[in-house]
Amino acid sequence: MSKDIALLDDLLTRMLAAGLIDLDIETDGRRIRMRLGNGSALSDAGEPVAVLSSGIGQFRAAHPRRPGSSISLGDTVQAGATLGYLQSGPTLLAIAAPMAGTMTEILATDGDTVGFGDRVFMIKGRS
Amino acid sequence: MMEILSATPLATIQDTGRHGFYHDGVGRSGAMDGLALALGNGLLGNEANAAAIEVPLLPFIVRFETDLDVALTGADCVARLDDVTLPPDWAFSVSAGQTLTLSALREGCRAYLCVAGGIDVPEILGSRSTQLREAFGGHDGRMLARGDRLKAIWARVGLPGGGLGASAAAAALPLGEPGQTVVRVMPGSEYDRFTPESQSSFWTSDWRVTPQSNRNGYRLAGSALTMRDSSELRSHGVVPGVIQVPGGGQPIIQLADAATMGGYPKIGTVIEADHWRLAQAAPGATIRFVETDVAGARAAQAQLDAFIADVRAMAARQRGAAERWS
Repeated sequence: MSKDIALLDDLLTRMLAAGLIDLDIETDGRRIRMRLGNGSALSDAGEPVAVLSSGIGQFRAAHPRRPGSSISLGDTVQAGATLGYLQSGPTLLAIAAPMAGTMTEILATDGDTVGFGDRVFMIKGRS
Repeated sequence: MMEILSATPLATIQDTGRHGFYHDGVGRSGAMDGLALALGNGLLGNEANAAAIEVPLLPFIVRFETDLDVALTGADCVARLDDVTLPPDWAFSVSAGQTLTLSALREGCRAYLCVAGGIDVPEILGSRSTQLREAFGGHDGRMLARGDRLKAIWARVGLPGGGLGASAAAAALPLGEPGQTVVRVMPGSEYDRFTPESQSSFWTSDWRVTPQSNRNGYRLAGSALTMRDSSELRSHGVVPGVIQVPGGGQPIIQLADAATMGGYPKIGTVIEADHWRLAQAAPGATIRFVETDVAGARAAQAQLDAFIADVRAMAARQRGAAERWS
């Protein structure tokens, strides 16, 4: 059940990041359809929003070539900005901000193994 | 399609080089940092010899006129897509109308902008590299300039949303202390004609990269190397990596755009697997030489090839996972 919520949460984050209002996918033999209503809850509520891991790997707070460049609590982030990294073998994925806002929580420590859909950061929108 | 809004001199289009025309006096050319080219092409799933833009001096600004996936590798520089900061060794998606700006260098000295499928310029003598001295290949056989418009062969390659990066080459392939440039060298055909003191100082000295260094070769400064005899040599073949010592005793490392022949004594050759380290050593940096042999050179090449293959394979998996979500 919590996995399903994480999946839906992730889909919602992706829809918002991509500006989609209607989503229809098939995954693991299931079909999921999501449609956003007018005025998404995210931007109105002002509640912190979870930034989720988009894959499985080791959390890296800073890019290996830029040690000391990790994000801190209270930092202002731009939409699309890289907040942290997910290392998988010799490749890195970005954990990107789905919207502009302020960093309110950092839920992973450098080197932690994180899974698909895990909450890594909480950011609060600017509205 | 993309337009160069600002380019300092010396930005050129390069692939893995033009091979097999030494007998016509046509040198290799190709990317100085072949590893950066390989990683960029690997992240994008391009062919290994897809052409990219080699940017040795900043700033470099390009505006994209169409949607395109690109990768920025090599030197770590301050890079922004519009106003979003980009990590180094990174593949990312750009939309029509966006501008990529490369400004201050943080580490290294040559950045590579790889594009989906490679830069679409004609193949001449089996390569898209710019042959600067002979003025053919690449974009009209010359350096890129403001207003030039270039086309990519593909557009999208299915990158994950936030982009896709390669881990740091220097950490994956360590040699010497962090931040130090060490390259492996095989003794050359005239090595035995240098004095024992010079042979010793060749391996133990710090060699400074002088400002007289470019794609043709690097002129180094350090304690002068002397020969036991100074008999004349005939001209002989020269390949990228050969270290020649002219009369003044200050070595020259011949590189991507080296002439195919030369008459200076050869004290050694930097193995090909370490050329990428030289490519990122800026004027003012110091270089150390450590001795190796054919077996050592082969092992180093195998290690380099394995790292590139790892990045390419894992990047393909990450793009595949992203594709299923698009």
